[in-house]
Amino acid sequence: MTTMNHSSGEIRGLFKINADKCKGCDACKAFCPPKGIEGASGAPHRINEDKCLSCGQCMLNCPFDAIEETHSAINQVIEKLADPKTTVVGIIAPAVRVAIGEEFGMKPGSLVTGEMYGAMHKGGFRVFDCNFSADLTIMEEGSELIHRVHASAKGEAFEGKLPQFTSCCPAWVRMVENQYPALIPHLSTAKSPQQMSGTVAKTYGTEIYDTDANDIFTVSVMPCTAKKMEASREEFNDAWEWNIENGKSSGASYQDVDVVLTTKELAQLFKLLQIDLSQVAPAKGDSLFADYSGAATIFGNTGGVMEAALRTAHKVLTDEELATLEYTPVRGLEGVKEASVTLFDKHLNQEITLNVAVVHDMAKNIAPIVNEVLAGTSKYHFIEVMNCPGGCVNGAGQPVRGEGTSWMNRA
Amino acid sequence: RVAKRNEYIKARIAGLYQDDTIATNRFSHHNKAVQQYYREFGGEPLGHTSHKLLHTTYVDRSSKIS
Repeated sequence: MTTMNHSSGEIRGLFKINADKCKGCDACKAFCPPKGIEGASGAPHRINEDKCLSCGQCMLNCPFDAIEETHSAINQVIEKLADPKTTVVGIIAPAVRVAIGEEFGMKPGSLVTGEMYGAMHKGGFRVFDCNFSADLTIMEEGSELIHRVHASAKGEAFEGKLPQFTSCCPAWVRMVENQYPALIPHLSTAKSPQQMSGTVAKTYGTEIYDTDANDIFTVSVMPCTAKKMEASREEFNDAWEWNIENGKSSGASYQDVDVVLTTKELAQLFKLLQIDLSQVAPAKGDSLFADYSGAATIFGNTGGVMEAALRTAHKVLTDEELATLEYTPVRGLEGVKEASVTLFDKHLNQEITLNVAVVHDMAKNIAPIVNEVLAGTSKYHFIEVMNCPGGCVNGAGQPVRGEGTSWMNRA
Repeated sequence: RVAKRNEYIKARIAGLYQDDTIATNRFSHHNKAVQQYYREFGGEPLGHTSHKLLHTTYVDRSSKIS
């Protein structure tokens, strides 16, 4: 038996197939990026827990509702909200604000940021918008990309490799670790916005909230189920390590992100607390952690991280703002979108061309891109990868639609 | 029926692009709160504090797949 893929404490087996309900119809197999679902056609299927990325696209696409999520922290969050000693910090992902309204009878895509903040305040949360950390991610990841591109152009050694892949999708990161370890140096070393949020909330946040880190309980609200696995990864307790080093904490370790709720679970929590999001008065954020840019909020769309990165990279390289902000070559539902951006690089004092690519619906589109990079023939400098079709707006934590789920123009 | 499935994905995507267009600031490098974070606490991108708190490493798990 090989040693376990997951270390202790990491969520494993987030999804289970209910053998009584499973018809063996193979629909789930088509959506599983690592081909981790086993079982003959017509016989009950089983998920290989080592291969599983926790992305939940199988659950989203099972016609018989036979796939269940085995892990929910709703009750734990409700307990913490009722505990006056604990500051419960709600970290809200970009894609939640255009989907949670559907759980309260509103149209898909309804932008309900203000109502969401109001409902969270009513429930007892402090609002930490993950979009603040999306801007932070652009500063860190964009700087890393530029550093790699400049060092490569000047023939200097540099950490990591080109092309640089984004690291915000935990299912993509897990696939690299499981199947393509040679790509590990290509991944940006920047944490995902979720993990940056948790770490910031429990370090700088102790000053903003004027609270000891041990009394901060971070609840990350995500359109995604793989974020539950990501938050539980053993290495993500950097705030505790920092606080120990700086004498601000003592005692047992705590994770940067304590628990993750999906969009559906936050809606369920609101209902349990008799909060109707569609009736709540819109509110503003309650700290600087609710300030975010338009570049951050589009992270939830396929191509959004790329567009946000290009807006900042253009300014850093040319010292002028990008003129037209809607960068259409990276927008839309095409499986792989690519673009090349030519600009005058003030640091290299020469014109350069950045080749970029955007991949979503990993199960269908990632293989050719990965093979090119492994073969060393890729022309790209920066590649954005999102597992789910359409990007995080269509993650397995989002409200499940009656007319079916995430099938993209497939027969 | 398949086309209908895409409708709600496109609607959510359009919702986020709308949130971008109505934003007073549309650039990450102009986010005042992020600037305050670096000024008061975080130092600068790719700096020492960022390395400890905002960056990570990965694990080769390819030999642990049963």
